[in-house]
Amino acid sequence: MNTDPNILNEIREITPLLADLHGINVFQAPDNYFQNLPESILIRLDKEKVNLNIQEPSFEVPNGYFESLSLNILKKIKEEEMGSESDELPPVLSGQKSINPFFIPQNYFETFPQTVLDKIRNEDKRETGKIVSFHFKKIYRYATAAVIAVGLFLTSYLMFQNNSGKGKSGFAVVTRKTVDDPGALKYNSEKAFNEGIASLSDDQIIRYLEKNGNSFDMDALINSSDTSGLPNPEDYLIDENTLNNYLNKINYKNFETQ
Amino acid sequence: MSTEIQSDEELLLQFRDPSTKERAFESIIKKYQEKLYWHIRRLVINHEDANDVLQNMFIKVWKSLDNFREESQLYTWLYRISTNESLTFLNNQKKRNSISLDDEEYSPAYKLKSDPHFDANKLEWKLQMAIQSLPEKQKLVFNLRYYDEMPYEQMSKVLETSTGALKASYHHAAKKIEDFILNH
Repeated sequence: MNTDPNILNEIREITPLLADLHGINVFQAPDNYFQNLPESILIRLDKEKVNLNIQEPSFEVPNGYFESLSLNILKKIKEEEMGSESDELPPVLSGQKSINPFFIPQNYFETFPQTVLDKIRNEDKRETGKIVSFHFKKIYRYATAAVIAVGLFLTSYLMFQNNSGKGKSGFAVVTRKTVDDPGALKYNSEKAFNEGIASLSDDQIIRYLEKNGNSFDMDALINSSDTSGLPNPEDYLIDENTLNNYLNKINYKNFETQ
Repeated sequence: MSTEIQSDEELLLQFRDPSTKERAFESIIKKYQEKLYWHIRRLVINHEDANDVLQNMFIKVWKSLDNFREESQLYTWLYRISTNESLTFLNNQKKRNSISLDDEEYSPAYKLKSDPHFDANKLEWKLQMAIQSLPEKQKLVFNLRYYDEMPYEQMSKVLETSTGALKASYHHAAKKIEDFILNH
């Protein structure tokens, strides 16, 4: 063994004792060990079926490989998940996993779907009249909203009708009756009213309705509206088209253009 | 062409060629087997254990040599693998001992004493006993420097430690060994 003088000097500076021992190997390897080692490793590689002879990949896959690949992967993941969960259990518990201590009546699962279906049919028969009530809350909400909307709509319509018939005074009466703000009195003509409405943005109108939706204004409008021509509220509960039919009947499109 | 004069770059090129892959690997084994064997042997002590670790290590090298990045030297890479394999082997042995409560049989001192050539009166065997008494990292540093004469820069890559720390570690290890020999 050729000793590096720098390394020898280094150890001599630290401890001369070790410098004197430098290069002595107490261990021995069997005879011819190093001559045979490469072959031993190559034989082992071959035995372990590590690919010694690298071949060009054939770039061929079995028929239908890619079609079923995703399914196979998912299946494997599922199996591994189930396996790993089982592995996490103590052996005593994982061995008990397939044992079910509970008993069920004979043919329970065979007859179960029919039992459920029979039960559903019986319930249907009993509850037929209540199907409407099942949706009552929802329909009631729509109906209420629709009544208010129609009320507002008809009131507006009547106001415009009155104004067009009676001239300026109609406006003055309505505004004095419903609005305390003296500033509102300036809308004492149809023209002034239309200009005032036109000057409002959509956001302002929405904010006003949101703020005053339940206020005196809204009540006054509803109370003053003529609801005698409205369809029976029960009809809303049966047929949601009733309101649309009614609006079509009174030809509400014409009101918009008036 | 003689394998002794082939550079690592040449061997790696041949390894990547399927037609010369096996021959190149054989050359790599021949080039490094002795150095690696003695490095492993000093750590695991038994020849049988060293042989197992060395063979397993070369099989891992075969499997991963295609992915070897040449920014590090093959020499330091092989040393790192052999060091890791040796430490893993010793740790596994330690775990098995803790289960069987049979510490004595697998202790480095017991292994040394079991060697047919062991002589407690000889200084060189005392040196081996002293080395085995070192902490793991100091033992590695001492062996790589004292026996393998590895430059600190290379050792730094094998053990992923700064050269300054390695120098200090080597100094402490040598002093501890001296104390051990003088007091036993």
